[in-house]
Amino acid sequence: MAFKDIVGHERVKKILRKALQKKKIPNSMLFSGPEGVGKEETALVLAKAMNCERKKDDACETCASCRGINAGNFPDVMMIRPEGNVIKIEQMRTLRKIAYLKPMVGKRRVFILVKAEKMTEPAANSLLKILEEPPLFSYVILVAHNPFLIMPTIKSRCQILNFPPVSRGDIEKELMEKGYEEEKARVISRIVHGNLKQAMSLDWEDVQAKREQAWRMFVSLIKRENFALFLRNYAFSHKALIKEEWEQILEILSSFCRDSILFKEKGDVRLLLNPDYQEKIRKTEELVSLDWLMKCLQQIDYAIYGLGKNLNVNLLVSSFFANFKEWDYA
Amino acid sequence: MTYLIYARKYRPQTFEEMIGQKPIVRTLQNAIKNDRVAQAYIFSGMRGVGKTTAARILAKALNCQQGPTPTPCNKCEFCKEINEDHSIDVLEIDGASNRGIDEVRSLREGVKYRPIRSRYKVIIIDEVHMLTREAFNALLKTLEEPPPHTVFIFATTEFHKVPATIISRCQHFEFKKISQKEIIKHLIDITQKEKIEVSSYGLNLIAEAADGSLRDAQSLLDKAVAFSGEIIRDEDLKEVLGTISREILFSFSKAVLEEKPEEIFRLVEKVVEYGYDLRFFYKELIQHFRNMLLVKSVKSPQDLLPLNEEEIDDLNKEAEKASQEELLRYLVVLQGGEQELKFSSHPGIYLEVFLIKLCHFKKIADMKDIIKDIENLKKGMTSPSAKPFPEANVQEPTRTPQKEESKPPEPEMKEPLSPEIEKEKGKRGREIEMAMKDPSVKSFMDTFKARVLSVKPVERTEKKG
Repeated sequence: MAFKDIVGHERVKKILRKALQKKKIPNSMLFSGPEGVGKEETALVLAKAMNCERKKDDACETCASCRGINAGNFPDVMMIRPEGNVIKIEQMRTLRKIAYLKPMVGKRRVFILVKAEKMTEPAANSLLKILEEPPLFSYVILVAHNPFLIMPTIKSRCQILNFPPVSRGDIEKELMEKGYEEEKARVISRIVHGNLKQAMSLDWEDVQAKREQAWRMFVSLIKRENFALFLRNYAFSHKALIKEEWEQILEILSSFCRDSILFKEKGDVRLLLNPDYQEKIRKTEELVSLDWLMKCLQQIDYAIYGLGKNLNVNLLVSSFFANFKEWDYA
Repeated sequence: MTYLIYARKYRPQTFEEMIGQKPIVRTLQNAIKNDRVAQAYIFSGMRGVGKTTAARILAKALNCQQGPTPTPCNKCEFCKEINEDHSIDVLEIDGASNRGIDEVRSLREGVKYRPIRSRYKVIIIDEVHMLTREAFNALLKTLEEPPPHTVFIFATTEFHKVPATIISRCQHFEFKKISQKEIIKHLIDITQKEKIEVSSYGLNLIAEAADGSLRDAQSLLDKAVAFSGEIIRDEDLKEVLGTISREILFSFSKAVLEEKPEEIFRLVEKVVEYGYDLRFFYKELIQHFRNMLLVKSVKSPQDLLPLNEEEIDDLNKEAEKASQEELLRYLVVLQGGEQELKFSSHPGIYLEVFLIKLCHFKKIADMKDIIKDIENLKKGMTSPSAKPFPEANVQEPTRTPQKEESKPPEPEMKEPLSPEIEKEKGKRGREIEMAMKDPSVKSFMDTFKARVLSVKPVERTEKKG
């Protein structure tokens, strides 16, 4: 993988290549941006480019260094991942020890900390000194998807590069190159919210089934009927992974609500998140009010928040539907 | 490959070079001059304001060949050693990595001996807040009565985590945020030395984004140079800083103020495409509305806003579209949404819906109008009730439907009662008149806007309202 293989992120790539050309790569960097947009890949390409024997500002993919890094057995490029759920202080101590040794084979030592927001507080603090004044040949790249969880003292020592969500157009193009049909690519690019990795690994059949299910729920919520069916499916189900499924359904549901609001407000139809449901949404438009849709979105947000807080799924689902009923009586 | 980031390259090497922190610098220099150097110092303050730098300069000042001097020479071998971080007598310890009691014990062992070459043994513990409780306690005795020729310097960003027993044994200096002016001055210095071209507006932007931390300002400048080379254009800088362009903010306020919810979808899409962080964008939007309110309520906003004439003019024009109260209301509601946006699972959708709500805001009646309505209502209420019953009955149908809605039970009560009252009036009209003549009854009726429905011939009159 070289820079050209990274989808989107033209701005970031431009900055990095310029820095490589001028040999002005900062020793501490923070790559931040939502999940699945290619931060880790970019960090790896940068590590390759810094050690590449042939090219100055890119990875050649053929020299020993590039191949070594690809295979994961290059001694001077180290990926540090959370051990269990967190990055521990011991891992940072090893990093410190190695960082002061001259590179063995390549030109520069590169440390890539994946999921840097998972650093424990002691671990993060022990990184401070090395981030501030690293040896000239050592580079630390922190990769994090939520910059709010990184301590300000760390952020101030790093060059921060922001990775925006991958644009829909880019995802669509990428999917079509992989052989997806246009319609399919269009829909997927809209439902993943810029998460390229997810777009690539989505199981289309499964997604369609979930969306169908979510649509049925949307209709039944509008008509206030058949709640029992969904209660049986989600609140009293003994299936494993019911929590994940419920969350996915809710997310799709919120996109339906949003699209319905778009219709209500006469927004641009091209901006629909569910272009293939356009007709169906139009038909239901008269049955719902703007107020109801907004309340519905709020309910969904509460429910998803509750899932994140690990509340009981059965109760969450029950209360979700109960709240909808309550509005009718209020 | 000797590229040093600006924060390292331009780390001050003497007290004079330090940016800001004048009172602290003076105190330290005077202490050295008068030979009153304390045995332990603790420096606290936010990131990038000069704590570690001050500690190092102090170490040099104490150990410089020219005797303890407020102006270390940076030329003698001792100063050089400290600059290159291999002096035997100046120990800079990373408190966050060496935080256990064992490290502190070995440190205590070392403290016992006199400095080997220099005048003082200086022990700098950076990030001292990360020491464990035991480690702190193990330090206490040494800190209270250290061997002569030993100076401890602690530096920390989180002063509250340092135990009080440690603090009371140290001289505490709190490093303040560095003012924008000083940051700009320093940035101009760097740009001249590095031959970088930046407009003063650009420097202003950097200084503002740095929020009082000099290191942040330097990193941002570094990043800008990496992005656009030696000549930094304002547009590039805005892109590096992620500053949201004014046009976008204006198009949002336009959609909201002109009640065009259909526009919102397109605009949010645009913001996402540009790759702005939505939460950051939201903050800027609040700032934008705040600026409009400010322009509308202050006579000379130039002093309060870092904007030029043209920009203020634009703001003024935009603010014309709404009243001051309306803007204030938008602002309050916007601020309320900030927390929820942070925790929302789909900030994009949340933002869209929230802004659409704002678009419909003008349709909600103004608080002033509502109050006026109520006032009118009150007046409308007083006049009929003050008049005798027959007239009140006549007036009934002329009442606006609004009033009937607001006080639904009243007409219901009156309709069936009124014929009865008519009858009673005939019978007991005199009694009522008598009762009304009583001043206390009259004042009671007036204050409660009551009317007489029936009169009992006994000693007491009953009223309902």
